Amino acid sequence: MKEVQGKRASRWFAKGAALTLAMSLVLSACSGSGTKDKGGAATEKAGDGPVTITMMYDDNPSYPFNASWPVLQEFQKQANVKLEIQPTPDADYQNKLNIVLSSGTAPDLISSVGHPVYMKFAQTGVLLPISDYMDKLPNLKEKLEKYNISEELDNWTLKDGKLYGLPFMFESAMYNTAPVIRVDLLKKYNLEAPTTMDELYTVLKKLKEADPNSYPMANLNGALGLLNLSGAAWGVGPVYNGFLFNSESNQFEYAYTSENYKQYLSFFSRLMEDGLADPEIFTSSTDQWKQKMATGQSVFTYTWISELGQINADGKKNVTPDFELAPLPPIAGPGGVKGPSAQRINFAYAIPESAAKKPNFDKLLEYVNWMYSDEAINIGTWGIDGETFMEKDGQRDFTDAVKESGSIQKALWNVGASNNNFTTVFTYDWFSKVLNNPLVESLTDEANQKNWFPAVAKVPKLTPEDKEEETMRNTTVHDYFMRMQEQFVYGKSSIDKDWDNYVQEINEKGVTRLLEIYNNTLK
Amino acid sequence: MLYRRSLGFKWFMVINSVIMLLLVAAILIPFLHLLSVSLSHSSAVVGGKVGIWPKGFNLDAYVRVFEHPSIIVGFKNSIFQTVLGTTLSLFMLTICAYPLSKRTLKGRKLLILFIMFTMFFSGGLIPTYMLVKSLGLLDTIWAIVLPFSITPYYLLLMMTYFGGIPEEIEESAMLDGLGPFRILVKIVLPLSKPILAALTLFLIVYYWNNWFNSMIYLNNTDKHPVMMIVRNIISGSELAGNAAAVGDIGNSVSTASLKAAAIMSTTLPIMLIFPFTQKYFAKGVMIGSVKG
Repeated sequence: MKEVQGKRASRWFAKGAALTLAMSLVLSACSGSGTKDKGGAATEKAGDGPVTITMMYDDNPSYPFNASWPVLQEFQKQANVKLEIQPTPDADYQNKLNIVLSSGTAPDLISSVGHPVYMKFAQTGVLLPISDYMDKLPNLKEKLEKYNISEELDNWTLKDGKLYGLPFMFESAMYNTAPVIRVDLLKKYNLEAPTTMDELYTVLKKLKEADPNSYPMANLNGALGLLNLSGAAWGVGPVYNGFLFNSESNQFEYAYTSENYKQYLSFFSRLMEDGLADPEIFTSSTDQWKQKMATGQSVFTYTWISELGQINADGKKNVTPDFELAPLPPIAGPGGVKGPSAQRINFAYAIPESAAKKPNFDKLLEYVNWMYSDEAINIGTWGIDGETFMEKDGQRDFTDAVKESGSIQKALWNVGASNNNFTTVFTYDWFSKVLNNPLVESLTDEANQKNWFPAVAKVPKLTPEDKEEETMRNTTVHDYFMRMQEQFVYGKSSIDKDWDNYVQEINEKGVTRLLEIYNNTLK
Repeated sequence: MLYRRSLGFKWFMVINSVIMLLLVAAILIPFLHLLSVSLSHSSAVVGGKVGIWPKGFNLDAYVRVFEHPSIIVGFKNSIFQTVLGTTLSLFMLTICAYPLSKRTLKGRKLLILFIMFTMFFSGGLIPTYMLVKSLGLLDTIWAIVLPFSITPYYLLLMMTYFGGIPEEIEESAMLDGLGPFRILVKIVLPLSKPILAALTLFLIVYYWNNWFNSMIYLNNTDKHPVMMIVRNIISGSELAGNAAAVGDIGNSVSTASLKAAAIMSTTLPIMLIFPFTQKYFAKGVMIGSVKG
């Protein structure tokens, strides 16, 4: 009885399983046809009406994407296109780029392609070689010449001499990050603002004596953030994967085994030992860091000048009405008086190679060329004429409504302007008006005059095979470098005793090989 | 019940209660702290003065979160994804687990092996993406619910549970003239409420919290779930240089409050589900159903 029943039952179950399979097939087939139709509609219209351009969009949480932005409408109207935008959260944007580019599903235009992703994919033939189409992009050509940006553009040019992206450019470098210190305390204790690292040590020491519970120096954005903002002054930045280019010997050098870096480590381990630096110097989150600064627990840090307004407002309420953090000129180290690295091309727009075969390709190039026109740049940066800005005698300025709104930046974002996904150039006069900080302006002037901005890090031009080896070795080297940096600064390893071991080990882990690869590219 | 009066038992109760209270506090205090941060004034938050009670009470951070142009649509999408995903998963898991729980099914071991294989080895992100793309599921809700409707681990749980239901009950139902489908619906499923409740809860939490698949497979903000938006708000407020622009100068919203408000407004709805499913967990439905 049991046997028979079992057989009957199992047949039924088999039927059930077949049904499930059939159902799931039907389900997927239905939705499958749905998307196919949509894809067709997007590319078909090549007639008179506005051509549809699909675009991957880096959705910044400060100004979440809004399809009804006036600037977006204006862009579509002026360029006679329909932008079909695919917003992806900024936090995961580069990840999604990796997937989309690897699988060949990229839309017509991709914004905000970071340098690492760009370098990875440009060599694989996924991206369109923009430099082959320069004759169709006269506006881009003109802007590249005007901004005299060839040195930086070279870092985006590959071994084959081609450019695979449309650069997003800053007209001028800005002194918008700086060492900042509590000037009210300097005045109170009759101290001079530090100009060298030794003076900085003395000042921090005095401030610690005045308030023994404090940790005078704090830091945000971890160990790499600190190196980014102060590395040039120490002569260990700006770097590409930790490598500096020495223009005298015409060779790459590894920054983090240099004598300068040893001094950098000694300085911070001394600060740590004497209680002059925050024990969480490499690990503070933005909120924790802000709290340390605004409560007066820390009085010196490297940061964005635009952050100071909020911290000063909070500090005045919490600590003392005199509370004032103010930016300083670069503090000189062994590298000289050098500010933070000032990239003028941080990312690029890209077009996938596959777009060249689509019927809307000519229109796409036309649109891209238009994006580099003065008209497009004006809309993208200043916003809407008469609403967010006024033009008088050839001089542009924001309207009073924008100026009095509390934040110019925010007022622009509200109409879709000042958006990295629509504009291609941030001009200097515009950007300084947006930052609206006389200190940034005067310090930038001074920086340009006194040559505080360090040269950009040189990127070696690698073959695809070398690129692969680089990626592999670099991970190992970087992990070891980060671990040892922490050990040296926190005194777990002694700089006097363990330095030689460290140099030897990191060379073996890949620095020697990477140097060989990089220097070979120069031949 | 005599042991309840012993001294040792009293001591046990005291120590046990203390440990449990500490455990509750360890969970509750951070939660309350976050809640009060979300309701406090910027200067108090940045000044580190907020404990578990809000200082400078205001709802500005919540207003900020709900000002986001896609957040309401996001909530709708999250609810839709969660309901559809959970229903579909429960259905698929049931009809897959029930036959596989029968030892008499031919090729059962092989089928189970196929399914369990995916627990340890997967195709990887990009191949999976290309599969979803070739099936034409990209940018549709099916990309979120279909590929994940059968989770091997849950299937295993369900199979074990079904397998534990005494065969005699089903046999007697069969003698009374029920076919396998009606046995499943009328006899087996009612007896499996605890596992169904547990899996429902797991699945709801999974679909509610999962932003990653939506980020990968959906291109349009109209379809993005709220968790994806909240994640963007949170990571955005971590960026220095950017953060200044998020909260205006002198504004009552600090990035910490904004973050806390975003977390609160998305975790509270899901936390409200627990009390409703909890009663099923403890119930021993099976006890006493087999006689002699």
